[in-house]
Amino acid sequence: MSQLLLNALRETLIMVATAGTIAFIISVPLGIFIASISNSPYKSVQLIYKLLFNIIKLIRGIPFLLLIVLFIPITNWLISKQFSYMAATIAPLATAGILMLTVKVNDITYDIQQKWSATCKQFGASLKQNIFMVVLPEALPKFLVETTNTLAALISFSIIAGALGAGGLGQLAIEKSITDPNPPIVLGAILLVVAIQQLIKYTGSLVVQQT
Amino acid sequence: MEESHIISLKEVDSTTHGSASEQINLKNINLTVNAGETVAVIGRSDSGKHGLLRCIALLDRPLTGILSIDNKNLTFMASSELCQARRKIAYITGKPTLMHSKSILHNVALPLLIQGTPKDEAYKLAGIALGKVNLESNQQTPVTSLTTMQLLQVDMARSLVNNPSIMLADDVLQKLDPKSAQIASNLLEKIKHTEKLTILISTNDANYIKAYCDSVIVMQQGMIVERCSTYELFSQPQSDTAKEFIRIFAKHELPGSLRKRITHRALAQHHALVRINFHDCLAPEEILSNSLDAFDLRMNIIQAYQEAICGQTLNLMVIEIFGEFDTVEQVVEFLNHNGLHSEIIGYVPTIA
Repeated sequence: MSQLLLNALRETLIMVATAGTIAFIISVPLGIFIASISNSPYKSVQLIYKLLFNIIKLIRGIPFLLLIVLFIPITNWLISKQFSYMAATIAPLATAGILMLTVKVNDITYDIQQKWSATCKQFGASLKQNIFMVVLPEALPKFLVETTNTLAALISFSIIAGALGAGGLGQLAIEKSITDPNPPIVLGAILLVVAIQQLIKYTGSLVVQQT
Repeated sequence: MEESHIISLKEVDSTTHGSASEQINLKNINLTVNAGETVAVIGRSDSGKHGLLRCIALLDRPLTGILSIDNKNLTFMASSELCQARRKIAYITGKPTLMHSKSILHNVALPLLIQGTPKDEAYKLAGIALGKVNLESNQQTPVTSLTTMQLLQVDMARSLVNNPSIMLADDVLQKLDPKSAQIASNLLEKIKHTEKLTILISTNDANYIKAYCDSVIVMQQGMIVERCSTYELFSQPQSDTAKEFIRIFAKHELPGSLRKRITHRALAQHHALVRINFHDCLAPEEILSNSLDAFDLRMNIIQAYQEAICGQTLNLMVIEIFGEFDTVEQVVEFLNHNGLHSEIIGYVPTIA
């Protein structure tokens, strides 16, 4: 029984951690980029900004379950390339994470840039200097907090993905409650999910306290 | 002829961008400031003081007109040159934007770090700048718990690291209590001398203006309505805004009981109130008593006080003169002619 739970836990953690890492790596530059071009004096850049921002807002509106459905062709293609079903689920999961985190990073960066615009002008700072010397040091703790929030959301999403057969604690809990009833394992799976969620949130609050 | 003008604006129009709530347009600003001067910019809220300082700080670009600083025309400039020019102009607000994750020292060193100064040297210069504003201690503390006064000091220090020649202080004294405002004023004056700065300060602090400002700009609805020396402002304010300012902040106010009885029309059974102000070096008593003797009038001193303005002493006096209004007008003319600025400010009924 514990072996089953541990395997499922491992699968869930791998899914969420990989998706979260991909989301962080893509979202931070993307969010900063979108925020930085939002104030551009050039019309064409403004257009790119509006386009990007609206696309992100649109995709963000899709419920996660349907996002997985949308990703079925990609998932199938990945599986045909010898990826496990679990690994293939990472694609929609990472996409959801990217969308969430990019909007947050964009908001945080935008606020800081607004606050600093006059001062940076005064210092004669270029956009690059503004990002690397002001925005990043100031915003990194906030980015980390948002990342933990995103991870917590990704855990929920991975459970949904598990219900569709992606493996992990979600799949285990559903299997052991419908097809092959085993209440202790279901309870254990639920407890584990709650525990991970709490752990992630606690880490987030630690980061907040540090700053 | 223009060599000594460190700041010069000719027919400048400008718009302050940013927060839409306080959009003030500067209209047709003509202004010159000499090097080493301390100039106060006074005026009501939203009269364009902030916009004027932002324009000179090169934060808002003029729409029309010519803005030159240090005899360099800065109206049309590539953005890289603009960055260079901005560094020589300190602009402080007393509410600096600071990096909360870093120490005071790092924040003060930030302008240098951005320019690519090595970290050690930038920190050293920042330490010196903090010393100049009397903030040598706790340089390593984070900036989250600074007092209003310390924020101002940090702002000053940060603006000093580039060795500017002009300091624009935007309303820095207003948020402080009278005692702190005094300390801040003294600090500003000290920095001015050690750093050889030209200071433009938007303030309504009459004490600071009296003590340290050489001249005053009075603004109203985005326009400069008066440009005079501090002494002139207090002795002969011309514009409505200046008169209002003097009345409210410099306490040139008549006693309340008298103010209630005063009228502006010459009625029967009334006598004239005359306000006189004069320079210290005159012999006012003699002129006054001589003239009153000559016209055979009696007078009663209601108010008299002295004020020190920029090293000069301004004497103010309000007297009531008993007699025919025609004669009083002649006396006033006579006094004005003899260097005692006088005006009839109203009429009060004679108490039986």
